[in-house]
Amino acid sequence: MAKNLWREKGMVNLAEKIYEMTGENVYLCYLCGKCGAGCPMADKMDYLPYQVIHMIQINDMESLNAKSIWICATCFTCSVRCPRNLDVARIMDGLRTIKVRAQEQTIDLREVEDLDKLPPIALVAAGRKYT
Amino acid sequence: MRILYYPGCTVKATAIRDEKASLAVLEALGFKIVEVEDWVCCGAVYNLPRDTVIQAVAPIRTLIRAESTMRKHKTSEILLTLCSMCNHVLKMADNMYRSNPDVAYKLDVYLSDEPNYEGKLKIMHFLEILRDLVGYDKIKEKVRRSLGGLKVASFYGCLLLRPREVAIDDSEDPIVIEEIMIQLGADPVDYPYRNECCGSYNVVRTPEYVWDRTKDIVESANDYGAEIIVTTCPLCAYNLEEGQKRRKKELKGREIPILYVSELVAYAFGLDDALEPEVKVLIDRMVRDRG
Ligand code: SF4
Ligand code: SF4
Repeated sequence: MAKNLWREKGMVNLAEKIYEMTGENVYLCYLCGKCGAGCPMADKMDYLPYQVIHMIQINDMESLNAKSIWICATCFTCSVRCPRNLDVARIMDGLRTIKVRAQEQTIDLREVEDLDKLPPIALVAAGRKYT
Repeated sequence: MRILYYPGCTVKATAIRDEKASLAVLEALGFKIVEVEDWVCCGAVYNLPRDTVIQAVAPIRTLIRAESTMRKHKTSEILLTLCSMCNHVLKMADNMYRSNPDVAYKLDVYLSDEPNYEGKLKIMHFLEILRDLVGYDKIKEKVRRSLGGLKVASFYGCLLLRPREVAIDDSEDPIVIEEIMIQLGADPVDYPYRNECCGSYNVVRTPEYVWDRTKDIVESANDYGAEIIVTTCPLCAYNLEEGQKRRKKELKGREIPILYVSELVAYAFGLDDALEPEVKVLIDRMVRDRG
């Protein structure tokens, strides 16, 4: 099986990794596109949520470099609408977590504009999601 | 009825207006509010991977302290939240603890310096308390000053409505804020963005995205004739307000004031002391201008 081949080569099967981390099985997705259609951040994303999921399905590591995983606002719109009951927000968060656990950060909180004006929840949330 | 209250960091900072108005409204309705002793920040967002429990440690710590406060002050098991994000996080953590004994065990180990969490609390958002414990009729009875048909656009945002297991109302067609507004004599505006996301914490890293987003929201509310937008989330409130300033030139239609739901309720109940003077003046003017 392909899965074992990946293992032997010391590579990760991303779908399996996501399943382990989040309990979500990306192969359930039939690429209907509903998640992307309702996503409030879609126009800012390089890959729409279902494109990210498709990349995971085909084990495309590029999904880990998608800007979308940092732009996702974890609003759960996709998750409540998916006809296959996939928790898409959780999958996006899984990819982001893989990056964060590998010490990648997309923000330096000291350089944030309006630091004194922003509500504390914004800063706490950004600290949790981006660092 | 004595109820517990978890403010969270932002309600004590940029959203202090919401706290003042909400607590005054609940007190006027006969509740005694007991603030949880030594509460900690909930974390604002709930990270979603299931292979760790770290995201639940802070919220469960607060819930444990809420239970201690409950025993000490003999309150009911109701735990009031005002901020949409706190409400979401506390409920997510509570669910995770109650639904999975392994998770519960791990959390007990992390939190061994505290008593165990008994899972006896019922976390309720301000709006849920108004709807389920008070009831719309009772709200109507308390109104001293009608809002005179003021056109109010409700902005629910994401975390009050999603995911389903912690939602306070239907994710796609919520009604609770509109119902409350009707009791106050306002005229709720139905517009397509009311249950959408404002861009949330993107405001910290990519604020431009959020300003684009809030411009769309405010323009849509404008198209449907809204005179005021109400929310319960301090981050939505900031994004919507700041977004209008930042996109002043591009914004089609008028700028729309952003208020907390609690402020309109307090106004209608005649609780002037609970309102910031400028908020009172603003609502006065808007209601008067309508005749
Ligand atoms: S809505 Fe669900 S099934 Fe449809 S593309 Fe998105 S993840 Fe796949
Ligand atoms: S959770 Fe993320 S991917 Fe899903 S709709 Fe919201 S912003 Fe888009």
